[in-house]
Amino acid sequence: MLKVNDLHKSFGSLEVIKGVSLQAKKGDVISILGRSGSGKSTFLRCINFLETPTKGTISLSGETITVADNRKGVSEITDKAQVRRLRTRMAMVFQQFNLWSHMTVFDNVTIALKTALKLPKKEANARARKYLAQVNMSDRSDYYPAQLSGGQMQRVAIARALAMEPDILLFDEPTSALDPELVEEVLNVIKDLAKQGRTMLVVTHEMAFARDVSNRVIFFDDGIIVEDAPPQEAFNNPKSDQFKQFISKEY
Amino acid sequence: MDFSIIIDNLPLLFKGLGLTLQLLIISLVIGFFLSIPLAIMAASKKPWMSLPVKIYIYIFRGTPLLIQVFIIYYGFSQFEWLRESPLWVIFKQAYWCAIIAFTLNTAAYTAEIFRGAILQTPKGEIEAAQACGMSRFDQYRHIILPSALRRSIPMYGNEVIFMLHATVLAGVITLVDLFGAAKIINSRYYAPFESFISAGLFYLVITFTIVFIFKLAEKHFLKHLEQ
Repeated sequence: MLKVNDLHKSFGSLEVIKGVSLQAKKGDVISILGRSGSGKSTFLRCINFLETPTKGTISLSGETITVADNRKGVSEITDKAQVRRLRTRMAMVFQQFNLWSHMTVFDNVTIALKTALKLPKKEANARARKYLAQVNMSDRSDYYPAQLSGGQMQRVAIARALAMEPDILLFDEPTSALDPELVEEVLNVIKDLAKQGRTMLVVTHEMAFARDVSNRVIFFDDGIIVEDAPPQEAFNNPKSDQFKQFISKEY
Repeated sequence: MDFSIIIDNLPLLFKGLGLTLQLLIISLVIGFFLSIPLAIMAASKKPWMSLPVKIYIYIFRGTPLLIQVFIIYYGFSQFEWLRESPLWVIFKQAYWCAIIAFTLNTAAYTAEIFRGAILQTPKGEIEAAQACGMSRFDQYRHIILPSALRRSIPMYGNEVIFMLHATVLAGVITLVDLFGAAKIINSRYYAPFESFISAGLFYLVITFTIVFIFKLAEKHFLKHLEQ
């Protein structure tokens, strides 16, 4: 369903993604691991074009986006409407939640439905109620983000992503900004989503999550994928020295 | 202190008050709606978009409002082509010259306030809007501007009070606003204390009203920032 082909990304002269290809099937839960600076977050941000890749193609359900160099030699998206369309089909959950602070929880969930998806108000509201209930935040609909805990904010952000009813969910370190006692409530929501068969890419430091919930583990090192296997295989019998070293430090 | 002078001239002062409020409200309303597109342009990363607006802001913030009023009212009339053009109906009247000067001035200051607020929008909130597939227009309409304008309310309240006090310049170019009325009373009775104190009290009351309105607005529009 998602197909990334030979993705490169440079910031100035520094190349952080050095040619990464990845295919995800429907229902895949892929954990993306790696040290900070290994390029895993940048890779995720390239997939929905928050960062413009320097080179490479990304396809989702048959629609492909290619980047081209503009006159100044900087890579650029050629068809912005196509990128917007694709973005509505891959929702992102951020490390810092990034809820819109001037809107209530309910409006945070409905606004993109009304604008980007152009859903009628009634349908947008119905979806918001449904997905806020799913993350157990219905009773906080009228609250502002500043009145919530980090875990609650992240659950709202997940409801906001789910309400788009996307083909794939992208999680960028969803629990890294949370106090330790709040990690569990968010991880439980993500585990439930995995059980429902949703397709997800999860950049994470939660080794237990990677081992127990995902069906595939990818390890980034210095801008390339060095390990790509089902979790049992990757954790018990890693092929790459880098991943072997990484898990030996973690445990 | 001769209170009878003030009481006898209350109708004149209230007429002046009417004109002061009219000048203030008209220039603030037009200035506000001008300042939003100007602020968006000034916040742009593209120099051809931001530079003209920045120059405009720089000129209007960099020169005294009195000089701007004089140039528009006295200065423009020296051009014959303007006196012969249809625009002359506007520029020959002190009333419209005052409104034009006040509007351009408040638009520049307000645009600068809003520009700062737009640039302070948390980057993550914009990224979240992009990641949902919102268009640039929708991002401004629903995310960037509502959040930036709310954060600007306290600063904008100051600008409104400055503008109120700046409207006295209308009295300098022959208009009978509150200050103009006080000047007339003073020249009739030679009672500077009575006339200017009473005008000053009027300004004080309007200022407190503005402060009160903005307190209410802050309470309503900034409640999302309370923990």
